[in-house]
Amino acid sequence: MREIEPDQILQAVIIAEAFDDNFKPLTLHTPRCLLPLCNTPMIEYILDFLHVAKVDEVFIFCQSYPEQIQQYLKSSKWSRPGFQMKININIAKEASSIGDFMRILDGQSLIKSDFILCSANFVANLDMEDILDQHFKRKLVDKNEAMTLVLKQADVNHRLRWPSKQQTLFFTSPHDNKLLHVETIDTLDEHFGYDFVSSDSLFPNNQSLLNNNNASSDPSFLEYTNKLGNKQDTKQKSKSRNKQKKFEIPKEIFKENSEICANYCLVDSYLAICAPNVLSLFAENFDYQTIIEDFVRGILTSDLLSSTVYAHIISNNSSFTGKGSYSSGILGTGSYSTVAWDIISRWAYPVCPNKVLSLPSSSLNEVSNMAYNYRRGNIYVGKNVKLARKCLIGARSILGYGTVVQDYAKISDSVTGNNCLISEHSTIKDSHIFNDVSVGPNSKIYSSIIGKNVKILDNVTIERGCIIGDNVVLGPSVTLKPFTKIYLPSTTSTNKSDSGLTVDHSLVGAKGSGYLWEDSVADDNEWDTVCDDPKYKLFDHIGVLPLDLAYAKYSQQSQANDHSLNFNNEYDLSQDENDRETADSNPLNVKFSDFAISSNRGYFVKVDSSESSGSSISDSDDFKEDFDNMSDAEERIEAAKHNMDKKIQEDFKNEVIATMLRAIEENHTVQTASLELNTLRMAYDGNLDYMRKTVIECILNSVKLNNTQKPTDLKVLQLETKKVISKWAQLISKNIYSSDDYADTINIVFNHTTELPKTSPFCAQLFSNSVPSDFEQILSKLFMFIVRFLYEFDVVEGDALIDWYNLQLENDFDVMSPLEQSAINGLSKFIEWLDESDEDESEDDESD
Amino acid sequence: MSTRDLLHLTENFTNRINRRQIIGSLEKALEITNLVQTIVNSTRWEDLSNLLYLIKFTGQQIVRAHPKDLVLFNVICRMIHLVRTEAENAPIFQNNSNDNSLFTPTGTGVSTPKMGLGQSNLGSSSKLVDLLDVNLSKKNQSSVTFRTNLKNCITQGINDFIEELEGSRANIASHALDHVHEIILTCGYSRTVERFFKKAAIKRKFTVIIAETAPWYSGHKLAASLASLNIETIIISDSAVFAMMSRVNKVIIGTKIVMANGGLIACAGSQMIAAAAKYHSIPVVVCASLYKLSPVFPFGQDNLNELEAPDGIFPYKDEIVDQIDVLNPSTDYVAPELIDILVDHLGSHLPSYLYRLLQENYHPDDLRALGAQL
Repeated sequence: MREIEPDQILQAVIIAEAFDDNFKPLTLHTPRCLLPLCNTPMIEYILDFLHVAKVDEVFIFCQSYPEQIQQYLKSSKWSRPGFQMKININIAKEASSIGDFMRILDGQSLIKSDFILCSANFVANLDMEDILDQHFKRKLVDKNEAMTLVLKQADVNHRLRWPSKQQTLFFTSPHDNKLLHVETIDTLDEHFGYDFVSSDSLFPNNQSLLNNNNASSDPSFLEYTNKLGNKQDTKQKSKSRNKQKKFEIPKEIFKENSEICANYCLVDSYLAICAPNVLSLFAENFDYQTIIEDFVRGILTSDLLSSTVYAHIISNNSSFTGKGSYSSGILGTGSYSTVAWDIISRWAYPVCPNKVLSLPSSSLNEVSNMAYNYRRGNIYVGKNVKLARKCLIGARSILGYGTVVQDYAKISDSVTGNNCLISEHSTIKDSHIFNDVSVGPNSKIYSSIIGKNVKILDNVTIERGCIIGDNVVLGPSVTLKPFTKIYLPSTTSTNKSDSGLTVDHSLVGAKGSGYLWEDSVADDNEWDTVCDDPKYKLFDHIGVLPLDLAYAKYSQQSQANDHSLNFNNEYDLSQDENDRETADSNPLNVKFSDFAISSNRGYFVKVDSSESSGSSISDSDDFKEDFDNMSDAEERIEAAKHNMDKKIQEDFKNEVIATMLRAIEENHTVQTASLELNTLRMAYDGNLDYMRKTVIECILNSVKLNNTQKPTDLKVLQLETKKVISKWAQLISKNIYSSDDYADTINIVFNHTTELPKTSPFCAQLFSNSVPSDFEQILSKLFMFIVRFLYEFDVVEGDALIDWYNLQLENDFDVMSPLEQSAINGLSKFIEWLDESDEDESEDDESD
Repeated sequence: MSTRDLLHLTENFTNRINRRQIIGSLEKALEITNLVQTIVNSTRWEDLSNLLYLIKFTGQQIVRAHPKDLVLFNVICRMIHLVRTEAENAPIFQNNSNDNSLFTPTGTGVSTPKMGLGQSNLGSSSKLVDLLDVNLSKKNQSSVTFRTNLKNCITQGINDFIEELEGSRANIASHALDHVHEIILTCGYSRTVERFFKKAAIKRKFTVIIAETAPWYSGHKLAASLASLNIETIIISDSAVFAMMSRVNKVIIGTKIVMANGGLIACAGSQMIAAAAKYHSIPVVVCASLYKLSPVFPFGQDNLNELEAPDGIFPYKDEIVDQIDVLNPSTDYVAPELIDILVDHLGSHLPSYLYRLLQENYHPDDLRALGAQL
């Protein structure tokens, strides 16, 4: 099968370090790869995956707590003598990125052939043999193949995408999946963040084929217009036009490929097959830090490196042949809960909770603690679990070994570890509870992660997104705000007086012990620069709803007002719902998978997933209540969003007007003015149409009409107009981006001219003093002059003018005011002349 | 071979199943038999109780690693029973005929239902071992000859069993002409059923209607194989089964497991076919080798079923996956009332006759010793 010599062994490299603080404070005492996922340490999943993939030798690269990983592996089945997979642990204290690990690996010269590179926090059920097979087959054809990236399909709003700060657009060759170009887009970008309408219509099938023919006219600059969007209605088309996004694609790739696939539907699955020379490439380019952003991009853009990168796209068709198609990396607490959800609902089969991942020790009498009893609705009940008669276990739950659930306790969408105690009347929803946790009576936990050995006393409410570190005691009777992190330093290191911290009993309760974790506490980690921007805090965090991301986006737009993302306060919009609803349900804390953004309409759709699952126990009434509250909150948020939007645009307009006036007064050059305007537009994320309108109006206002007392002074008017337009024509044309904009420009001029009597006091005076027909004549002449000079200075095209003129005549000529009619009539001669000159031109063309 | 080596061997076996290097129930059965053969031949066991302990220990390891794989469980149970009965029938035990009543294949001491439940108020394994120990201590002087003798007997028995396994498909197929007529309906891909049809096709002309068995489409594979032998083959969608049933003469299906009550754990879709056949009074014939007969009763049906990754039904890439639950059960439980005939290598049986086969092949204490999960 595999095209390698029999004496060659298959090696794999696991990177057991993520260089971020996403799991703090849970990772204060434990390395991330040993945190339990569905009650199994995460490293078990990747080792099991590699074992099934018939890997012979594994190198684990770690930095923090190597002793713990070593000790864990020593006691696990992996280090039993005779196991076919050899595991080595490499400790690299000084590394600060994946690139550093690769360089260290290169120095050690341990890698002999092509190897698998993956993260330690990774769950997959892929058929690695097939992927390797294809990799080696390609290698026979293309000797320069350096890497095969394993990519997974996911639609625009798919939950796999939510965690990523950046979305990647992959340009591949459709025949051999060779990667040609990658483009990363910030998720918070207007076009791809919360409102996905535009991206939907850009990539109707999530994949566009670009043909060489289409691109030949201007191959370096492509616009994704709606060539493929036949399905969309015109309304959406016009909407998408405003939000068009442009990418630059290197010309070279069109020379080499007749067809190019632009894939927006792919996400990285944090798995790659690398040739040994990848290591030396990393060593040569010491600034490479990450795989996709630095390495792949570096290889693709470099002229010197002849290596190639291929993509292996996992489609769900492979499941027909019994091969898995699930793979997902765990980067933060958000993807942690997503992956746990996928494992529980069996997307990752055969990786599922009741598959015994780690064999028990070899003693004959020991009972396997890992086995679960499967119940309908994807409920997994461990050994020795005591369920009280009146407790409610909802769908998608795991109850670990020896867990006790008392009467009237409710658990759904959650994982409880081994030996937990869930007391009476407590509610646990969408949460992950590690081993040996006790939850007191009347406590509520929503969308949070509770570390091991935590004690939660009576009447504690933990709102969504909280992370409670190991050994913390909370309560009684406290409420934690959303996204609170509490930790307790390890008892051995310092006593409390030394660390200078005092327990804030208003936070953790009278009997509680624990401190508020601020992300700045992590300053001692020198690599902590990756996500210092507060808006990124929301990414890949448990308990985050799409609403929060929407806020992140809009607060980014209004960053001038408030830079810090104060999501607690903003979210308090719906905090009052909290108070009036019953104790058992809470709209904020419903699992985020219960909501989705409808991409076309932009509002939230609620699906009662508990009901659809046919679970044995579900509290659908509560959910309905949630829904009512939800739609209320949603309206407020829509309104808030609208207001914010309006305010920003207002500010933007004022700024543009001020800039233009200054430019005209101080007689700036066109370059200076345009630079200033562009800066403004970027800062406010302003609308292009809006900006064009304001600029043109400002320019036209500078045409001095004061000398025009009588219709006979037309010459003066003409000169004046010419002067202004010749100066600023370039600036206007800089604001014109497509052929549609010509018509828009003429419209702006037309409206401006016809509304002069209303807007300009001088004109109003003139209007009242003079004979109406004379005045109309002046204005229509003025309009004609402007249009003519716009044409002469190449701002608008003749064809566009003719089209506009004909459109006006056909459509609403009859309903126009006399002023407007005369303005249009004034154009007729000019249009005629244009028509003729056009024909002349075409005749000339023919004669040529 | 030391105990440590045996552990490696066992671990190697379970890992090979994990790594999908052993696929298919017959292959698994053969591998396990070979493993037991190795234990008998090359471990240092002194007497029968010692040997049985080793086999049970190995069996426990395997069952614990693959708790849902009933074929493994069945074969191990049968091997233990086989080793014991062979030892009893060995010439060395001929004198103690009064003790044998407990263990003889046709022994009257244990009734089937109790056996299936793993409850027996008669002999427990500890007692058995005690009895054997007493027996063996009498024979101290000739222990070497005794061991070789016993080993030969057991090896002979295991070889017979391997022969049975290897010949099971051919033997089942030899009954094909009794069952295959005119229009047959089937589903899934079972190599036993495939062979069954191919054997019948030599002498007879008939039509096979195959339900495609989504989302795995294993029906397509069977169709391709049958069509290559010029058997008239029709593929229908699974939903068309009921509509087609009135034209069918007989339903012939394979199965993964036959439960102790005669019910089946068969590929998803079988239950619908069996129910439709019952409605139209069409006979349902099940082809199953004897190693698929499990001494376990189907009590935890949720536990017996395996829900597989649902992306064959619904693509994971679709963004609404977080709002829906998609279920993809891999098997159906078919109640014994819906099944008319079971065909194994000996011939055709009614489901109600299974207790007899169970009694001949399994011992209740072994179920408990292996820690049956169900």
